[in-house]
Amino acid sequence: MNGLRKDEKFGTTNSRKILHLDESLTAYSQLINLGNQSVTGGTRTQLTDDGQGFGTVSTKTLWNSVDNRINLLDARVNSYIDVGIVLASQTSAGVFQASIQLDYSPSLDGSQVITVPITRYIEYTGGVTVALHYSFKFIVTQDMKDNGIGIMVTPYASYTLENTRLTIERLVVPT
Amino acid sequence: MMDFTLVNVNESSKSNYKTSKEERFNVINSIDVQFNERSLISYAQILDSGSQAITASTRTQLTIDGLGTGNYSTGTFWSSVDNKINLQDAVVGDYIDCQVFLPVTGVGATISVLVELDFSSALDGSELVTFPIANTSQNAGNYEYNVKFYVTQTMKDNGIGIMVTPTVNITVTGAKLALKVLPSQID
Repeated sequence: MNGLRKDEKFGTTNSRKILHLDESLTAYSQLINLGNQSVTGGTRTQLTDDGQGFGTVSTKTLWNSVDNRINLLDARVNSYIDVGIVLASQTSAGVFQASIQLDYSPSLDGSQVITVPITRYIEYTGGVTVALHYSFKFIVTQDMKDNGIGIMVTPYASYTLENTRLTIERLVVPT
Repeated sequence: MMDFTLVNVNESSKSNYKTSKEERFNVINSIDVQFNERSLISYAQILDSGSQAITASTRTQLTIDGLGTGNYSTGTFWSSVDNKINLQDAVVGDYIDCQVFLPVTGVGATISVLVELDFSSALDGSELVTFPIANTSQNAGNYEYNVKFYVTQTMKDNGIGIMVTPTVNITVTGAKLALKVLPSQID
């Protein structure tokens, strides 16, 4: 649609539609953590993803790998956000369970959360890597704060998370 | 939603760059109209403001009144009268991403909760959109179900019911439906 931008010269009558053409309707990122992260059973911990793993791609900066937070500063009210998280671990036989919550409080203390925790559970015999899949979908209802959104994980037991995978998608319908 | 075709408009626009300003203006106006006719993307989040008790091993239709905080929709995707997803305007090839979110309270044991999307008139399971999805947890929690599918035939007008079958008695408080529709005709 790049060629259509030539029509900006037509002034304010079409300004609303010009905005439509200039603005990206979608933005998305896929971030793979290159290494591992150890988490302790029962301890609420911020998930980290360095975005250095194979398969990382992004159309816009939706993740900050320095403070490990989702960056939605540009998301307008009524934007649709879809966050996918895959936790993988290989442990001995037993239960692999963890809850995840999106937290946008500055200290990530749970005082300002976007969603309630989602818990995933799998029971297996051990010896293989298994994964828990999480999906958060929500609509932005107020201006986003500039401190980013942390992903907080509370595991049932202690695990080593391998190559954590994040997908972040931002959609907006022009108004 | 109505059809739009962006390809033809683009081609038309390119061929008119050297025409008069007025002519070009008209071309752009036609693009505006076509954008209005069919949104590129549609989505919604529908939330319930109350609670629903569901009995163990009883297949029950989920109710969402659409009055919860944060309710928002770019189209009419949910009927809180018959508690069904409304995809009548979706056309073959459209991509649907549907999430059902069930905050479950009052349970202290390992439970499993089955969710199905049913578009049979009687909601008897004879016409399921996808296989039933079961989630298990060791205790009460927030159960999330994500179903993605393409529309492969003309949608029926009776809507899609969300059927829930838990293994124990549960109470769902603040159920949420998130829906995203990507039309097939983006180019």
